[in-house]
Amino acid sequence: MRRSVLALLSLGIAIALVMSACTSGTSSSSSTTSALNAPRGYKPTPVRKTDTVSLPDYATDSDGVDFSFKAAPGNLLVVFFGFLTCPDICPVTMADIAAGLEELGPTVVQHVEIAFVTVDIERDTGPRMVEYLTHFFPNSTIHALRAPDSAQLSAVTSQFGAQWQVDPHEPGAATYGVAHSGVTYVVDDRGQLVWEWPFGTTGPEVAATLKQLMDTVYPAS
Amino acid sequence: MNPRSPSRPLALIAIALIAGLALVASACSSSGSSSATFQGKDIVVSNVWARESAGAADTGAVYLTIENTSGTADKLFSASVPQAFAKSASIHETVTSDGTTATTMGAGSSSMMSMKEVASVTIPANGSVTFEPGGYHIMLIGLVAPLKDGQKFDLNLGFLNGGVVKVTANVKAS
Repeated sequence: MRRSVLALLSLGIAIALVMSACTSGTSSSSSTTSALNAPRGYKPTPVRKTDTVSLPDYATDSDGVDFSFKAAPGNLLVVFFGFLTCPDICPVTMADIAAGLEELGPTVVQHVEIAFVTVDIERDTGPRMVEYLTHFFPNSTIHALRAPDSAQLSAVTSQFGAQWQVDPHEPGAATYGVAHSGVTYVVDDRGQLVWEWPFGTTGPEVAATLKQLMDTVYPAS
Repeated sequence: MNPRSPSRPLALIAIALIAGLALVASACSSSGSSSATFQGKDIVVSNVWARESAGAADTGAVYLTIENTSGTADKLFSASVPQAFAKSASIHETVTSDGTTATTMGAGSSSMMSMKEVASVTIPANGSVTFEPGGYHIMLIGLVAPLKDGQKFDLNLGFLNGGVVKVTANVKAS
């Protein structure tokens, strides 16, 4: 008799444990998300100017318009170096930035410009880059930047401190390896690099950083 | 009269409680992973997903979790998709130029990231491996059409011991 009661009690405890494990699973994940909701990355020092370099921008003109790496007044310019056939790093980064913008809402998003610089100038074209960026950022000002040659691309990447490398391949080959920095850069309206995000920065961290940058870079607004 | 009869209702309650426990436990596990699981010999594949792809990109990446329920290590050595869906599928790992995986790369690292095709991925005995952004993924090359949110597609995964496991991936918007 006593044993049965004990057995019942332990069953009851087991049920309580299973149920609590179940609920804590969901609640802890949401609390983790809010804990991550802080800026991530760092402000590069010393100050680096990026508006000394430019590339053709295919976002508004299929012939390309010269674009200097500088945000419009009061805006922030987010810059990433990638390529379109990149299946993991690039879409992950684009989706994280897009998630951050979604969290910020339209009043902030209208002041954030998105620039994608291809490091695969052989395969990527202006119109395809525009299509790619529009997929991730349908409501943002975008810059689809493609250098006419690797020398001009290198001039830009070295100014940012980014790296890239295309594996040797036969001309016209469909598949070849491309390596690139996974860092995302933020530039202000004076053409200064004000922030760098490491690869893996989440949407909430992107949102928190952009919000803080808006407040610190443009304190009057 | 059986002196133990008063315990009979308790036994019934116990059975009901056990049934309840089983129900709660199953509800719990099914809510933990919204997607289906796929079985091979001592291999369980779950949470198979791919991100919606931009029209201009004809590549994609499939992420998933592989659990090995046996006491012997197994190896995933192949992945394939129907030709009508994509030209090819292969196992890739995103790596950084200093040899670390992208998911463990520190802030401010200036190292480059690239992908390398891997011949196989070891699934440890009684362990699991998760393919996730910045780490392992099944790369889809030459997608016939962009991946769309809500779409499902099949892949065959070849394991050394676990055999061929047919899995279905869910395409998510982000």
